[in-house]
Amino acid sequence: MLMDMDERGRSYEKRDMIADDIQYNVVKQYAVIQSLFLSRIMGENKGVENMLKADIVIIGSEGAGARAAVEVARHGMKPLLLTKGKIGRSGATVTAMADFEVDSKSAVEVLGLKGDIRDSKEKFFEDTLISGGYLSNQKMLERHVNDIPEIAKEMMDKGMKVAQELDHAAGQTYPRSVMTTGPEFMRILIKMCKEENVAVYEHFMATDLVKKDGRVIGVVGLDLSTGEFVEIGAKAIIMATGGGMQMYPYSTAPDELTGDGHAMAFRAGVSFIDLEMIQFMGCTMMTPPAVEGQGFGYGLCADINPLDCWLLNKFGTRFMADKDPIHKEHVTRDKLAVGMMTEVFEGRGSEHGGIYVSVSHLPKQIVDNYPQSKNVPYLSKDWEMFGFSYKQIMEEAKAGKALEMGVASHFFCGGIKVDENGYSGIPGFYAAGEVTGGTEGGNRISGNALTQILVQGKAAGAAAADFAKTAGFEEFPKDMAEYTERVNGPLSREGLSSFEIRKALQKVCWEKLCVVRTEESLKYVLEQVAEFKKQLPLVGCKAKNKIYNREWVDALQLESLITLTELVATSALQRKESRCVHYRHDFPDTNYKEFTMNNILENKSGRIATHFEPVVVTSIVPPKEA
Amino acid sequence: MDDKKLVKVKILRFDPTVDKEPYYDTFEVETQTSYSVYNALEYITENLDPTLAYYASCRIGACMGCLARVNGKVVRTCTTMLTDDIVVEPAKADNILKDLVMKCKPLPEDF
Repeated sequence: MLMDMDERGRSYEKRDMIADDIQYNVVKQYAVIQSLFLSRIMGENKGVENMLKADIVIIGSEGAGARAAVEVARHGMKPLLLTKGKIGRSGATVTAMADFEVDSKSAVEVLGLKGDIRDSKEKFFEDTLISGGYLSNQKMLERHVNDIPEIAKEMMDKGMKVAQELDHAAGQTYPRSVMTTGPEFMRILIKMCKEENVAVYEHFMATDLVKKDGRVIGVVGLDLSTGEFVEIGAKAIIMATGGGMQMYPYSTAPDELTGDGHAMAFRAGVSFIDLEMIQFMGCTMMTPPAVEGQGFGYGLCADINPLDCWLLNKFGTRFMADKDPIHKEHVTRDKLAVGMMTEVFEGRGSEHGGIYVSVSHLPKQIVDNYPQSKNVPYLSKDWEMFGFSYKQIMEEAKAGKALEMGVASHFFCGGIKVDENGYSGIPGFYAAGEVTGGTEGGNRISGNALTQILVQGKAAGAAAADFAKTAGFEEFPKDMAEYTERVNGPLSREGLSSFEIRKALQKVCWEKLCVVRTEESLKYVLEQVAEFKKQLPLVGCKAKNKIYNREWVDALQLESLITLTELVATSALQRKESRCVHYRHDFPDTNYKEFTMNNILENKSGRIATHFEPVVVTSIVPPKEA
Repeated sequence: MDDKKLVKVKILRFDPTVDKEPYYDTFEVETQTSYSVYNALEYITENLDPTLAYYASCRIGACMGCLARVNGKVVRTCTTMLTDDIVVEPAKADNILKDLVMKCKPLPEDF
């Protein structure tokens, strides 16, 4: 189905304002499940028979997880989706602004859209590889470009509305962006889940994977609706928890993306790849509070067809024009973020740690015309976006007040190391979507995220289901104290405030592990992590209620964030060069000779071990020099 | 509204495991230009009363997770600015898990 641009804009608003949640599956009373939980906690009814279980448990219910669940069901296995939040109302997918990439030729021939048939899958592969600094796993990238047309076609056949014409994202040789919206994208995935009778366990925060004889046999966590510790058996697990953008105080990502999946995976012994590669969106709002981290400014200054805004440091220098006289402000995301944050790093930033943006050099009518621009269908003529009004802010800007903008964490390019089937190397453990690394390499072109989550979700769902066909359920260990203590510890203690420690951690990450990094700043982060680790066992909740206790959840998320911060800082310390989104002020150049390698972290008896590995090559050998 | 000002945020509270009846709590919050009801709920939980329960996710107006009844009307709390005294209630009064959080659908029978 085709949607015009106006319709695309409106569809954000069209999601009804009725209080009903997305109607999901059938149900049984909580009490029954609860009594099952309680009996298990009391030590009765242990054993596989009485266990809450599903063939494949998928942690994370949005893009990658939902697509994986559909595939699991189609392979004859029973999936269970877990989510800390609510399906369709949490996670990063629904916030996508939103395009997915398909090579232009397939977009014409398979999807029936208007594109450029000179394009090819090979060219799409090459553009993504180059944009990612040659760090992509080329086997994964082959699936990325080969599998997406059919996956997208099915979603369109099921009614996903897209714009007829492709957009052309920076870094792509041909137009490849199939335009839709995050909510529309999720509407279809949820429809597909319903068709396959996929069950969803909402308000469930997974906290640990359980292993036996080297194999993952299930997951445990906290049911936020009851406050009970819950064990769930599985033949295989698919991790689809997304990135860990909440390491930073400014983020375009939802509040719950706290790296729980990364932390669980690390404790379970999986490896990570290129985790230092965190993409920041430039020109995001820093103030006022309601619009913190929002991408409004990115569209205004830097995206396709922006206004000709000037990015100024606090002394009025138009620094992007200095750094790149040809493209000025209109550079790729990585260059924009580095350009902005170098000003901040070198002491020329704005009051809140960003930079200034001027539109007052433009005639007022020209500024007023901007909402009609093609690339901002979600912006109303009256400067309203997603329900937020920017009218007053823009009136002040036209009158000469500089807008204050910064960067915000946007996407994790690196993550759990998996192969092209989403397999982690640990039997029974698969991962898909933004929690993984390897597809995008060191940078992500606009639109490749939605392509990645669909392709990987489908691949991991199929591979996990195949594994499950010959695997059985295993009994959990008798002694679960290690797992229950992680969950129940903060609630049972009086002590330090997780809110305060989280904010302190985010401040450290913002100041020392953000876009511009040095050996000194990274070592400082690791010293601070050691302190935070000492504080963690002293964190206690003031709130003692068991049902939906946000302070408790925050304390559990804090542990994930501390683990993730240590992993990212360690990874960033190893890469002594600048490449793509990883910028080292002390090594500003790309070192093609030594560092066109994947940066690997391993768990050696609970400590992080590091090494570099050659990238997986199928067709394009990375250059040895620039 | 340029100046900071104190407003009263009256919130319906209910923990079915403890309370017989829902009741209201009122918190004083300092608001400013472009300060949302979501900002206030986060502030209250982190500074005034950590037992307050609300659901929110994207805080950019996209996910529709943070729906609540503000002064009688169901709105997204993240896109609703706090400019004056308000009353915040759950979007649906008959389906409360705790405070402003709705119950979700339990699992199917065969798990």
